[in-house]
Amino acid sequence: MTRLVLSACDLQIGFQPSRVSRKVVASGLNLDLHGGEFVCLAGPNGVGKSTLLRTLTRLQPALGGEVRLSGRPLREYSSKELAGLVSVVLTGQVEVNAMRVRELVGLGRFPHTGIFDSRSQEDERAVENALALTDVSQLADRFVQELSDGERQRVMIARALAQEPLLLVLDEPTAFLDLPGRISIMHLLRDLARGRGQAVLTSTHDLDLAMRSADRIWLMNRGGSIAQGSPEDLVLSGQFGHTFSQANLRYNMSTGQFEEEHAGARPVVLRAEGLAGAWTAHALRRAGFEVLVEGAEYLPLIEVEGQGGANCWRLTWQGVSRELSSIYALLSALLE
Amino acid sequence: MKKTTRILLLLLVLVLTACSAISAGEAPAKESGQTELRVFPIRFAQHFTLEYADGYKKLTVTQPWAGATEALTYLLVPRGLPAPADAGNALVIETPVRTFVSMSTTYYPFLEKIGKLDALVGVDDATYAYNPQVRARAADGSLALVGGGAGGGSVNVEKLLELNPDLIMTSASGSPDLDAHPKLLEAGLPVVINADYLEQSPLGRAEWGIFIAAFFDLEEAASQDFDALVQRYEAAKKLTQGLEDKVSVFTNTDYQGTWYVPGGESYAALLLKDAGADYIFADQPGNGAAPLAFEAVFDAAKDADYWLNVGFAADLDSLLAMDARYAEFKAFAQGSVYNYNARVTETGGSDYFESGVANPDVILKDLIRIFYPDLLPGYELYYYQQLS
Amino acid sequence: MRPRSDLTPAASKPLHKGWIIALFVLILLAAFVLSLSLGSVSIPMRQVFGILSGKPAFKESWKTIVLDFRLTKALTAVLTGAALSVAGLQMQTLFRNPLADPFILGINSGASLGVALAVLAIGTTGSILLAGISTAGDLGLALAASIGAGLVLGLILLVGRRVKSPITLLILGLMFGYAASALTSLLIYFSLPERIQAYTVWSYGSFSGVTWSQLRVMAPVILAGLVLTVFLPKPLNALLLGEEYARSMGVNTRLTRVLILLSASILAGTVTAFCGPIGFIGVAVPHLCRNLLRSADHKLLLPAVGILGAALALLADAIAQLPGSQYVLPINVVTSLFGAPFVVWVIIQQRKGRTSFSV
Repeated sequence: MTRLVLSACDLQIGFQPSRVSRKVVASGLNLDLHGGEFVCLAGPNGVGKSTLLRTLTRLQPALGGEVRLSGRPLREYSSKELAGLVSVVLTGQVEVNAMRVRELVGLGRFPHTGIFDSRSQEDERAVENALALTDVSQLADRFVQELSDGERQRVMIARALAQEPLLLVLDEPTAFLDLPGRISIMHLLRDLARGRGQAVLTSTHDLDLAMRSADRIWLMNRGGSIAQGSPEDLVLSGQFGHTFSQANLRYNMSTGQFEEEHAGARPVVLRAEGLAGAWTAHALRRAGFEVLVEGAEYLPLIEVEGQGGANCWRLTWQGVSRELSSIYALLSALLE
Repeated sequence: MKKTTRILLLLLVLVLTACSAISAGEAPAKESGQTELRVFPIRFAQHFTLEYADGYKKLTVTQPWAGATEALTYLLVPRGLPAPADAGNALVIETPVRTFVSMSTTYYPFLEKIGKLDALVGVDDATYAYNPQVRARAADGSLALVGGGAGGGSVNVEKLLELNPDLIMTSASGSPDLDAHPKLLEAGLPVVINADYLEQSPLGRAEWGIFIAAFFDLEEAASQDFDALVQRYEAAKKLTQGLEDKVSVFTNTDYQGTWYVPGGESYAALLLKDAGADYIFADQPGNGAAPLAFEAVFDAAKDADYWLNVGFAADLDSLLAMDARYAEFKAFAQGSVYNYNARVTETGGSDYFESGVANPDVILKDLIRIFYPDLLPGYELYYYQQLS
Repeated sequence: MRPRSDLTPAASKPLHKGWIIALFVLILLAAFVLSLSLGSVSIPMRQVFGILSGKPAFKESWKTIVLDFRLTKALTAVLTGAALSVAGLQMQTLFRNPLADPFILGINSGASLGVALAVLAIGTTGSILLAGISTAGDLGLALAASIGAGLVLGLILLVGRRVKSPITLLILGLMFGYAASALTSLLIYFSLPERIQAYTVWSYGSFSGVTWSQLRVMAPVILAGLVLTVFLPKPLNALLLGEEYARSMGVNTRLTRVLILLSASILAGTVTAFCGPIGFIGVAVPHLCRNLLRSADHKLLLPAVGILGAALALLADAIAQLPGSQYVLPINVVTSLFGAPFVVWVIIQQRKGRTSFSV
């Protein structure tokens, strides 16, 4: 579990389209990844996550520094050797027609087969294994284009697993999926790491899921540096908030939510408890109010009472007291 | 016999013209639109007619291009005289023409025959001309090059306007993007369509010399010349009539598996027939070129005696090099292959296609000499040469 | 968002591919026999077989026709059909474009330009250039076409090694093609009608113009191009996912690209040089095969398109010969007229089974 699979030392990533023009995306990166670890690479849009992943998998060259895979410098590996150690799942959907699932997953065996792609028993076994791990065995004879998006992503992951790599790298694998799909993929990755000892590195926009599933997070910020750590460490140290905060977006460390800051938020006083109270507060903040527990007399006062299962909201304001039967009605009343 | 009739007719015409001139001032006897027309006898050409009216000549090209539905009429009015009132759509040309622009090489020989080659002030392109005088004048710049012909790109209207010729003669295809004459007509230039290439009969094609001559008021001389030509032609043709053992002949070459074979009614086929040869594909309908399979031509013509008109080949070796299968033809094996490229220029001009049109009797004699040398001993081939 | 797959019908069992390939081979053999037996001249089939096995023929001319005309034509069709189909398949996979044909990189236009220069730009019988081409013999035109195609190919290879994305390569190829076509048009504009006709006839495409001496050059070259593809099924399969995935699986995409370009260009260029530009076969046959075999696996497809392409070329030629009549149609007319509706029909049939196949 603690074997060092990938390490980067003083790595500089970016683009160099010609001899004179050079664009550095990030530099001075020191990273490490161990076997059995599930690492999520997170950061705002455009910060260079894809560039980093592509550099680590040698899909594009590093501008400086060194990357080591299993102790050996990345550049020393031949294409074939590297393919046997690292496999990828890239962002975007692959349009493949007339190919069955088993065939596509079988493509993952390429680094291990010869020039004429003859398959051995071992190859067949690896394919079946990969299908089973990603829970798509029952789809093996189906055509890829008939599958749903979630199933397709699993198949692409199965292909990457059939390669039997040391390290599995994914770039935004959940981008096109719905919420249940995203959850299931992240859980799959976590189980692969934890249950099978696979080193997994994935980039993601889904911070919430990342926080829930990842062993460690590589937090990449706009300055081109990366902070490594467990999710909670990164929150408590304030780096999470710092990385993602924007003009009027603030990371709330207790709720784990991003909240908008309104300069001109109207204060209201809320006296309530329990579930109803929490959700009423949620609604009020959403509508742009500042929720206080105690306040001046002239402020609107909201009391929530549960009466036999149904809730009732009492709004007292400017001398008038009203009873409202839903949060919607409450907000409408306040916003009049 | 024919000559006397013609002279009588001509006298009649002259007399009538004189009579009408005398009675011109007398009465408004003519109703509008009714003019007396005397027809100039045209014997073989089918696509133009020449008629005489009071004070002008009327030239009609009955079919200006393949598929044309309307005839084109030209009224040739002597310079100084007014154009007829009922001209209609006809184009009026002042005669005699003094300067001439030619958009085809086939008109040069006809001009030369009536002694009017120096009336030529412009040609479409001199690259493919054979006539040495034309080439020399093009080279020294005394002949303008105006484009618009078969191989010369689009026509230079400005240059023509500057030249201001009395007549521009061209052929036409009927499709506006290929033809030069619509633009020229729009610019007000005097353009006349010559449809000689539509004639399939060799004599018919040669008779268009009269068409050209009419613009110079020299149709009489041209007609006499033509009569002599007809006599020579018929005399030659007579030599081969009644021959028992006819030679067989086929023409053209294969191109990538397709052999374009002239139809039995075509110019080439008619010449072969008049030369007393048995044209293998005489039963191909029409006057166009049919795309036949090489295999079919081989089967039909492999034992033919003579092979003519073999494209650009100058000798047997280069012909064979085009396709090794030509060796299987008896005509090739015997060396009886003839091509009409005896008179060509370096730049691609071929006299067969230039003066050949005006001298079908020479072509005919060439053919007879090839097929039946005993009939014309002492005659030397002019347009044709034997490939060796 | 696609529906969950448990709502779609159950998967169809993979058909036994071997039988379908065997069927293709049978069709090829039948087409070959047909091509030898049909033509403008009616020769009984027994005679045809007799001639092939060396027995004397009823008519000497029949022997010449079968051996020197029909046999060469049939062999040319086989080579051409196979070459174009294989080249077309490679182009479709390399560029991941179902409309790609073997000439997409302008090879065709280069060959046409070469031929145009030879036919149109020279003088008459007396001119040196034509004489030179005549003595180069029936290889003269082919030589001109090959030089033209070779120039474009050279340009493509030069550029192809440095260019990253296949799309860029595709666009560059298209541009080279347009440039060559423009030059050809310019030549036509300034040419004599007879020469233009000669060039036009060349552009109709034909298998019948190829003689034995030409075949002696054409066959080895095409076979060489086909042999090059023996090493390509694996990388081609990988390329189905795109160049990046292919690289991540250890495929040398640069080498593969060069091999594909080389092979496809030799195949397509040679065909154009000897037969003129032949359209449609290169685009249609890969689609037909994918539909009929219901697979994208190049281990299967490469041989399959070769066999089916050869068979279809033979059939197209048999039709073009208008058997029984003396006339003959240009090959391109037949391949387009008959080919296009046929492929449409096949694709519609497949669509009814609710699986659609493009690349």
